[in-house]
Amino acid sequence: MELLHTIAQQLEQGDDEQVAALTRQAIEEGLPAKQILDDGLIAGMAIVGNLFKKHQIFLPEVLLAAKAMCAGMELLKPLLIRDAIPTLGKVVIGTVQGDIHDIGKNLVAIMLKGAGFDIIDLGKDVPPQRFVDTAVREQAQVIAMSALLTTTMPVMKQVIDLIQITQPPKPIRTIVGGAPVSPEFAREIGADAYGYDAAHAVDVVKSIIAKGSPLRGG
Amino acid sequence: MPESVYLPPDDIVPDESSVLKAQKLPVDTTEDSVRQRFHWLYTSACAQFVRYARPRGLIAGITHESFSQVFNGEGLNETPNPLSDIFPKAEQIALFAVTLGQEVSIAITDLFNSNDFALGYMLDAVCSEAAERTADAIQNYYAHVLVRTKAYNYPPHIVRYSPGFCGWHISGQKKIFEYLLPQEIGITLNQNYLMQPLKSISGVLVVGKPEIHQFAAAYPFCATCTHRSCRERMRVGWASAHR
Repeated sequence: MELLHTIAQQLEQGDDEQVAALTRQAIEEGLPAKQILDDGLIAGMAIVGNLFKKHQIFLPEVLLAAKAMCAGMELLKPLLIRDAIPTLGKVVIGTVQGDIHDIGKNLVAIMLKGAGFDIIDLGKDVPPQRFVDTAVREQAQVIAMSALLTTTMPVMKQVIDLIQITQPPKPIRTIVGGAPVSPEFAREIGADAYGYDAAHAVDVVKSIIAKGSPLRGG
Repeated sequence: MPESVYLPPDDIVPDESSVLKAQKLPVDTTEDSVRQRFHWLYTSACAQFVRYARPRGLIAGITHESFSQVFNGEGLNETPNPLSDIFPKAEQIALFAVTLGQEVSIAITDLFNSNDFALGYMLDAVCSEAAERTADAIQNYYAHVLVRTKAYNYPPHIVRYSPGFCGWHISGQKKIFEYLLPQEIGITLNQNYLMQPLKSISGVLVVGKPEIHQFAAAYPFCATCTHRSCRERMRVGWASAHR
């Protein structure tokens, strides 16, 4: 479909005004919301993601594309809700309690949204109970945690332990990241996965939802 | 008695190359295309910076004995660490704190909240570099105070160190705050030793011969350091005095 291909191209270029205009046009022409999402917006972000992994474009360009995606999603979201279109999965994300660094966490949230996940961003300085309560209430599959201080990293384990204690009705997997966090630390605290940057986090979240991994609770 | 210093934001705007390098963009090439692609974002971010940033600093001289208590802090420093050997050889020591203020941090958050991610990210990078430039300015100011008070005939060699780096545990912030009272310039410390506003730096200025600062990055904690700024800080020393 030429129009959807053009949406993807304009998204790659980071032209949010064009993406919004073309998305509106696609809706008015009666194209299904899911098709516009999959073949227009997500398709465009997938190309952007691949170019980024190959170092042919850089993070600011990815973020411009993400802004364009948001412009399209703003128009599509009511239709997707109306049609009960499922997302790739639901992720609760936040910076752990005591920490207010959020740039890295924001980048992960942006990239996950661009990949088609439903994101509940709890912000920064998030207590362990709030991570778990939100994930259970929203039936999220993943809790993603960020910490930029060695003094706040232990809170990640508190969240993981709380999931075990809570025994949610559906399994909740965990991914951790942040400058002082390492794969070894992630293993040590029982996290399901570790993400070393935003792009890697997207691949990892897709993987742990699709393939499954040692589960926490449920 | 701590001394407050206020700086015009225009004086602290970091250069484009350092901001783009901080984002790991490949600007060290003969081709200018990368720089050209992001020049508009950089200039937009700088305009936001000048509008919202309120750079200010606080500085206070401290004796070796008092600094020893500040440095030992909560007793959580790595041992050995370079600063334990360096500060006893210092000719002068001063504690410092700098901040860009809360308004610019709010501006970054607002940009992300309004989906202007690229500009928010660029402004964050500008602010991180600018915070270092503000610390450079305070270091330079201290050098000139030492000359003005005739402690030195010319700006001396100064290297700065901060808690959270080089084996100085981040809890070291607590004693710095008790001595310096950076609340006076709007910086607070939470229970995890995190300063707010985020774009703040605190630490110690160590005045002494260049050779006292030389150490090999071979401590156990060096293996996990992602900054490696010690090399440049040693090399530059009092370079801010040359600006």
